[in-house]
Amino acid sequence: MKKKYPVIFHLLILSFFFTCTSNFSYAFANGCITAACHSNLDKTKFVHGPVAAGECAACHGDSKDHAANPKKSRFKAITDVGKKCYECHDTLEKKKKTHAPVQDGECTACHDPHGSSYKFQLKKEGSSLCFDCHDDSIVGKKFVHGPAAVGGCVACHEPHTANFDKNLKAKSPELCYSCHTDKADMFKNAQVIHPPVEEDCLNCHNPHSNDANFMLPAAAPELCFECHTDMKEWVNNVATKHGAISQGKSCLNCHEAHVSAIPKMLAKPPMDLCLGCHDKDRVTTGGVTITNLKKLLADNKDHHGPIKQKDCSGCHNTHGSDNFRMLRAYYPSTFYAPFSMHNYGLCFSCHEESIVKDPETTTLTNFRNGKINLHFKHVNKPDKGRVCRSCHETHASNHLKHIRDAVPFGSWEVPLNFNKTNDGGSCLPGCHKIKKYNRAKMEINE
Amino acid sequence: MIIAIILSIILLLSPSAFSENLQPLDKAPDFTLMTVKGDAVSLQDFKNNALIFIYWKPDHERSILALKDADKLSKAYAAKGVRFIAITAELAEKEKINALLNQNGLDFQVLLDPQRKVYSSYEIRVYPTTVLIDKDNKFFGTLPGHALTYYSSLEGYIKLMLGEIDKESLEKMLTPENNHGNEAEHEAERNYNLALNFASTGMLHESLEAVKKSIEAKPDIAKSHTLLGFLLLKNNEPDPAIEHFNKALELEPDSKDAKTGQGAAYALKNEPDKAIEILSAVITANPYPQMSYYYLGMAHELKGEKDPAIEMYKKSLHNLLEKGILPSSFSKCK
Repeated sequence: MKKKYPVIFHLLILSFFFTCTSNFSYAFANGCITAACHSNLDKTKFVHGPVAAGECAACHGDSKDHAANPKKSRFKAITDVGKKCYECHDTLEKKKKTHAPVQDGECTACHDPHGSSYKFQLKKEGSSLCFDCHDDSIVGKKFVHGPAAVGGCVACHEPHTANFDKNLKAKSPELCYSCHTDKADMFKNAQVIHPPVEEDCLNCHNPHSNDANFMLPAAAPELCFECHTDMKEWVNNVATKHGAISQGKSCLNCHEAHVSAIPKMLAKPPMDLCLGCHDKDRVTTGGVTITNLKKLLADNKDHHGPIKQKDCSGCHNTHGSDNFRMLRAYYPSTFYAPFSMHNYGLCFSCHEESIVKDPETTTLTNFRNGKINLHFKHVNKPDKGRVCRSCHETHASNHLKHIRDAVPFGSWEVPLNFNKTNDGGSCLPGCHKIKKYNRAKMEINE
Repeated sequence: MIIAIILSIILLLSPSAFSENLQPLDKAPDFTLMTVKGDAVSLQDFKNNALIFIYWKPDHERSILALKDADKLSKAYAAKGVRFIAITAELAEKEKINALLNQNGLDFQVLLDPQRKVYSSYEIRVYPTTVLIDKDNKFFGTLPGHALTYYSSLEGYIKLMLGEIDKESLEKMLTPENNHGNEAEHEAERNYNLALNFASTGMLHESLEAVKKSIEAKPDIAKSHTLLGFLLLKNNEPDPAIEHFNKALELEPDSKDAKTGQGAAYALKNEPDKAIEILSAVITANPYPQMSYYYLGMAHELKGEKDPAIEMYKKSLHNLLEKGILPSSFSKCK
């Protein structure tokens, strides 16, 4: 940025010379411009040098009798305007693209050859000149790009020649970075860049104006869904859509649009994102209360594996789901369920399923009495099988393996009274008398 | 005591070891398993190498994702003596295993654990589980599942195990954050750049508006005040210009640009002595002294000092010519 700093001086010096040129007009007093003829030609704010110097012949040539008989003795028309301009002005540097009036030598399409109220003797100010030829509807939408909003087309477009399409000063994104230096730095140091961003800012942003903020064609989620069609389909068809998608910034509540240091373009680490909203009891539109997870996790120190990994998406589909509690797979909400592998699809997407299929084991689980697999014994029943949540608190508890203190059973909170020993443990739940288990030496329970 | 402290630090930083009995720095339980190809492989074969094994299950999406990440890391850490293998209990699916690996472009030695000996001794409870064993064959910890941050977490733990990073660096890897800087600063910078762009294309009014927005967004950027000062000078408003040059100098006392502006403003206010005093000090060691010379010329002219004025104007032009930034019309006239 510091390198640009002296540019201030360059451009102001240039401006100074132009101003000096126009000031000469006040020194000029005779010739074609008199009170009777062409009296206004030198009265504009910005006067062409030869006019200011009274050197009309520099462009119009001589016509000795014009002063005596202006109607009959006219000047010869300037047929090749461009050629005439280039007699004094340097020809423009040849580049790949040339603005049509320049190409046609029609300098006077934009510049008044005598003078005007605008710098460089332009015929109109800012974009109003451009919109004499170009369609102004491009800046007519609700949100307009800053330079376009103030008529500064030349902030991005070269009025004469350029090396890029549309007479742009540079290609996107480099051109964009000439003002949006923060984005340039951001992208340079980014770990994950949204692919359309890497390609071209114009994939999402219109450089002139558009219907949504930041000159986007639509706000999230519609804009995002244009590419993420699978997500569109998913979100539009699931029974429960994550509330975050319908509120506030929608997708951008959780995802960054440009770059991120976190996979999936997340705005924050996954758990921080979730607990950013789930830090209070929330009631869904369907009237279901969702627990204050932040408090629950703070109060209960033994966390379920995915929570230890700070990954709520291990069990929940963060966009939405057809299952209870937006879970990735079916999970019974009841205390009892007849044994079926379908009931445990969610749990067994991580855990080993034979834990509820093998009646005996010495390797699958430590919850065994001798070889008797107590998981099998509790779960694998044709009618009143206990589901995982009958004993385990899914998020966290203050017991090893996040075993519950108690489990709701109708209006009763059934206590579990679980105690762990070195080789096993015991339970005295509301379901049965105290039962002990020991992996090394099988306990005989009544 | 020292050993106890070291042990506690290692325990604290270890991957999520949910193991009940196996603890970090315990001797890693030995094993000998057959590979899919029928070769016997034991833990001892990896002596003097760190070993990472992924206990996985075929047809399991997160297992495949973990293997893919581990595959990338295995290439990055091979030269550092870190070996990666995969272990599965699915004996009956040898062909499927090979097909899956090929299909996903994975190059892993896959060991079979049909008796679930490793599953049991390493207290595996979920798929995938990634187990880290250090070069001394000591259990370092496990990383269960495949969270979104699995790759960076596993890399963090590998680096910690190899002694390449400390606790603080590991924490940073485990909790990556987006730092997009200060929005007000960005807003100010965007508008400053736009103002500069407008000024260079002669759109001084628009430039003025943009630089005012820049200052509004963040009032303590010296260059914005300097640019605004020069734009005000162009509007022949030396008094407010001086205020902004003064502000710029308050923020950046050595700014030659702001001092030049200050001097120029006093010249425009017809206070040539003050202008000369300021501008004479600015031209030394200034890589862009053109404007300082120009306004020095103006100040001398105001004082009726023709020769020094001409000299300063010439120096101003000399510097302009050297930099090759003259407008073409002027070149034609020389």
